[in-house]
Amino acid sequence: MGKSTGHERSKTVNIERAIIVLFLTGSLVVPPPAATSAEKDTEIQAAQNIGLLWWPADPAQSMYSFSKDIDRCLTQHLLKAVPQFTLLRHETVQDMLYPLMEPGTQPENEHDFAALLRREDVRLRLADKGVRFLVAFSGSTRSEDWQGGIFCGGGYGGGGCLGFSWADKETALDAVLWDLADIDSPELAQASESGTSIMPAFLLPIPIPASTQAGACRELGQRISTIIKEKPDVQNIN
Amino acid sequence: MRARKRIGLRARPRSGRRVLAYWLVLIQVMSVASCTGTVEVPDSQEAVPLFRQIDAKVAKSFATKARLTEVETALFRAEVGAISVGRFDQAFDAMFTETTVAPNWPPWQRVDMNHVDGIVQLEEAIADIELGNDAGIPDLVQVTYKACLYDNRANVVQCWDSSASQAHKRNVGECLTDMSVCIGRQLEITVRDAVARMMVQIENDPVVRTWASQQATREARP
Repeated sequence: MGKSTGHERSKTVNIERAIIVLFLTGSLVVPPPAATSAEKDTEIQAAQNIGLLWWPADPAQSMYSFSKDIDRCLTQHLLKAVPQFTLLRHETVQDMLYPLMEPGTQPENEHDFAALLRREDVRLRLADKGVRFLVAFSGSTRSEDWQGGIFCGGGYGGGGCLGFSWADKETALDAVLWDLADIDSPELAQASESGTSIMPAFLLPIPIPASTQAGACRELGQRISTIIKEKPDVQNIN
Repeated sequence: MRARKRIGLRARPRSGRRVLAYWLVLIQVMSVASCTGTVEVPDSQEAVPLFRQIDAKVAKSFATKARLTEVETALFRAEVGAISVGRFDQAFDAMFTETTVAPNWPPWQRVDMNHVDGIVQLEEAIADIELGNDAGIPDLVQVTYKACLYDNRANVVQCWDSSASQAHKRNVGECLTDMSVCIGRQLEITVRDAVARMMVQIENDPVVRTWASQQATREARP
């Protein structure tokens, strides 16, 4: 009788602990990092702006989370590499060109994209906002299935896991750089990075994901900034 | 004495923990309750939409059933009609060279509308929200619109339908703090996509351009 009361008490204590843990995990959701003041789309009217645009946008991708990460990363990189330009992020450019760059209305290929940029109202809008370059970026991350093996077991004395697993991961990004002073010759830039996510398991499995996205984005940013810097008239801008 | 003391020592932190747990449950319940409400979505944009304008003077009208469309879930209410009217109001202004507002009552069909070339009306706004969960089932948002252009004698010139949908698989904890904000963003993406589809469809419709040129010719005639 006394034993069963003890069990009930320990159950109650466990439930209480679980509630506290659930509350803490639920409440301690880390907010996304706020944009720095340099990243904000200030001074849109400046003479030389670079607009970033996720194109072709994949409407199936939920809430565009991948594109937001790449957008943020490219913005940070290009701000450092070509500080004479102001960066306009994807959402700003998409708003600027509404309704022509929504998932259901965006141009299907580069030919249509060029045709869009030749539209008088589009040219006027971009010129009005001081856009000189438009970077249309896209890409994805592909993960292979997990290899290796982890074995878990348990008994009255306790339990745990033992083993090692790994999975290859690759992020491939590409971008088309449109110079609005020369729409007929867009330039292509590509970057990719692969890595291996690992998951050692000794008592508990600990996944260590490979960070391929940041590397690929950095590389793409470098290539885009090199192309921009090579433009003869850009070299004169301070 | 020792036993009683031991029980007393155990009892104090346990009851403290219990009180804390009860308070946390109460706070969590209250925070969930505070999540229920209206989904807030911007009903317009900063920039004027890009559109090759149709040379006509039209009156804008929003049918009651489109204006009052709402979606209610257990957690929140989304005033899709109000959001859509705001967006379409801006879209119609961008689409035609001159716009006015059609009377709500008496209905414009019963009023002399000779002062305009036509009437553009948002006929329907249908929305559907299916809530998913944190275990991998995505939240689904679908929006469908129907709009028609009438001449000033209430004859249909052309009607258009457009729809868009968004499925969003939540990240862990993404929608925990405020479900309505999470769905609000998804609803905004879907509404703007559906309105954009409608605008592009109208922009490329030769029937409307022909109708507009006929209006211009008629007006030019002595």
